[in-house]
Amino acid sequence: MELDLGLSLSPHTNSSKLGFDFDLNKHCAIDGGTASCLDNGNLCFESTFQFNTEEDCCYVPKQRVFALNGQPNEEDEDPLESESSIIYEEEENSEVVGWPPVKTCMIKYRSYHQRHSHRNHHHYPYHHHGRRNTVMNNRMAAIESVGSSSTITSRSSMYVKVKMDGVAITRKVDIKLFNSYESLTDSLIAMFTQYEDCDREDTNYAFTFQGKDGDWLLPGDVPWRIFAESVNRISIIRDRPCAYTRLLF
Amino acid sequence: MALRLPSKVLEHILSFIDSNEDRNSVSLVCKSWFETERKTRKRVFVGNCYAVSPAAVARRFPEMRSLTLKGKPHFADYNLVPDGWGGYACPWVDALAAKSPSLEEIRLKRMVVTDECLEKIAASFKDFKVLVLTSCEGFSTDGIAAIASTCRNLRVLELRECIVEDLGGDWLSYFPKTSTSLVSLDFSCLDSEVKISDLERLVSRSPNLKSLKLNPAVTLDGLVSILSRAPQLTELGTGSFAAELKPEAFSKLSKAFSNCKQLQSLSGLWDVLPEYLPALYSVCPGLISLNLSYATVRMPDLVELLRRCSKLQKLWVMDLIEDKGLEAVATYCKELRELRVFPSEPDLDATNIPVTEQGLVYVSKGCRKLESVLYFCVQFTNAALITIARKRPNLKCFRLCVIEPFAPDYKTNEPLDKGFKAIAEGCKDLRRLSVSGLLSDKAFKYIGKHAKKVRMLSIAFAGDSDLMLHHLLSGCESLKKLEIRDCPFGDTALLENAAKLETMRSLWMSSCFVSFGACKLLSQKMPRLNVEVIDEHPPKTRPESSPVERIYIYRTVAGPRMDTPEFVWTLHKNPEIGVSRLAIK
Repeated sequence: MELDLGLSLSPHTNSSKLGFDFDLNKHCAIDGGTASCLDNGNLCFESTFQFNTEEDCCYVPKQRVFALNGQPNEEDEDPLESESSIIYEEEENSEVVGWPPVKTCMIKYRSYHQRHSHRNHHHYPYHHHGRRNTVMNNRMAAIESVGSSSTITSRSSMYVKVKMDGVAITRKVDIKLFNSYESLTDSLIAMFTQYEDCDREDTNYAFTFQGKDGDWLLPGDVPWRIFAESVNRISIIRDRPCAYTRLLF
Repeated sequence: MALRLPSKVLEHILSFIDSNEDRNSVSLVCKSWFETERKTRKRVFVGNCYAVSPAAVARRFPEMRSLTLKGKPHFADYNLVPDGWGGYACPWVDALAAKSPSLEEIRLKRMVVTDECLEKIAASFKDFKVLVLTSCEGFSTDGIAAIASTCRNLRVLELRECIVEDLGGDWLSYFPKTSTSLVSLDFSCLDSEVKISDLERLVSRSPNLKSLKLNPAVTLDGLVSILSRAPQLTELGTGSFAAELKPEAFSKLSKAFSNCKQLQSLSGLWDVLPEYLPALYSVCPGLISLNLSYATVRMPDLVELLRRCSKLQKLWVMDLIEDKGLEAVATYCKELRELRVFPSEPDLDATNIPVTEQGLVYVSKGCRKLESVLYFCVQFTNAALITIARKRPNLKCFRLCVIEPFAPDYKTNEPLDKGFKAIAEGCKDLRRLSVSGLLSDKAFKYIGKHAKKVRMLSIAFAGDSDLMLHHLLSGCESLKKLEIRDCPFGDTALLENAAKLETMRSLWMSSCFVSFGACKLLSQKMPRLNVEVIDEHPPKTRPESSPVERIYIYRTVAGPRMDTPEFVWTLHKNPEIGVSRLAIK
């Protein structure tokens, strides 16, 4: 089997961006005559991928801790609530798994140390907000100064945190994938029940949404379009807590 | 007509060749050399336990005396690999028990080891001497007891940073009651107390003991008692150093240490109170290795200690040492080869910076033998990196972790491209590199172009596009292990450089943009790669273009593995079967 991997990456690739609108179609095009794609023949990438649009609306993407795909919000959002920076939960553990890359034994020691030490163990002040601001500022400043090689794409997705009671891990969903409360709530239920031993028929789910101004609303309180622009968080309460089967990590 | 060396002569010649890389080359010369080499290889190293089957290894090397195995990918250290992924030691022990009863040494890293497995080791290898488990898990102190009691010739028992189900300190009493041949014992990762009397007796009847690493539960009093029974120690890991300060306790401790005239390596020092540090002064001039990564003492105390360590070659310390402390290290520790500076708090940011880039610059300027660096720092500059590269072209390992993801050069706001370019270009012998901070594709173009000897590369939150990955895979000739997290690319570069993956041990990508379709395609085209998709969501429920959470790709001659859990999809070679989940029976 001869693998002819002479696909030339288009120089245009250089001009992307934070956004991931990398188009496989473009890169299969003939560029200076070398059209050899992976299959040594006619197949190009796009035909090997079945783009099934019906599946798109069922897919609820896993929480992306670092939203690297065009997340930066153009409107002047409160950076504390920005979904595109690192989010450190005050009440939950840090959502950035494994960063900074310090081994578990050292972290375990830290808590051991805090539990057993009777001395003043030099705690540095813990600034959540400062942290988030710094990240946002860094990234924005970097974008401005780095200039032509990165442009912020128009927002094509909007990730919102979803917390179901009894579930330790907060998920994130892209609101832009949905067009109604029903499709959103259905997908959320599907997503959560996949990993718990729940019988979704039996359980009643109560959804509440927190908007930008901090108020909690019920589905339908505002029209979908307005909701989709302003929602910050989603909370789900179920009336019958299920056995929590498995926490993957 | 070619002369044929009699195999006895060849065997004799090969007995002088220890390095496995050389032996691998020897075995490729011709069939007879392959045969002679394989029959004489005693120390076998398998960098990825799934790259080859245990039976094949046991069959190939009948004279194997020592086996080293590595299991999980490196990022498992940072919780990026879900529990249950794999890396089981049992199949190996089973195969070896059958074929290699003379096995004496087993060293495992990031593997799952059960008590049954340990019991089997104890029962199967009559002359078992060395067990070193690093970052392993799955066993309890019962398994350790089995090893201690059954392996009469045990010399080395080291549990380094393992996760052990600690059922109590009894295991220590299982060592033979007559004198032992113990040379090294490390139980620093265990939590529970051991009976000091058991430990004292063990140490007293182990005349060859050179290296002893205690767990935090051993008190200062215990330490004093142990040291007085083992003044010949060359390596010591202390227990907790935080007892109440009593004047006679201090002088006893001081005396105990001053009796250890051969001590070269010191670690542990959990919770060490600064007032106790002077007890260590007597051993400082002889110290070669000092691990202070659990010692939460401040800079002035650290400097007092370190300025006495003129022979120090390896220093692991927390960032509480500050730039000033590192300046002192640069002044006094002229023999330093390896420096690691760890973050004292997980949440450092710009308002709270114990060490800056200046600290590392001091050490780079002052310590001419410096060749290995691991440095955690909130932010960095290109200028510092350029200076470091210029001053220390002999660097072999450079791992910089800028804790703020995407942090640019904080003085110029530029990406750290120029800095890492200098490192890649200047440090021609660089074998291991970890990059961080704001980096564009250009940085990776430089790395691909210049870092010709880099074997292991770690990248997080970097790059702009697929070009980054393409530069690395097409440029770095010696690349063996590549691990990437949270970078915005995948498919094209991966597929375009598919052949490269067979020359590497493994590739890890998590939270990137590799699509399931690309994984499938790659797997179909490259039968000697295992393409593992590790994802909570079954790929079948999503469009093939959607990104998968993690992929782990490694070359193998053993085919897809049979022990994958539900969340790992090893893509089947036969496209008709599609995705196959081979569950544990």
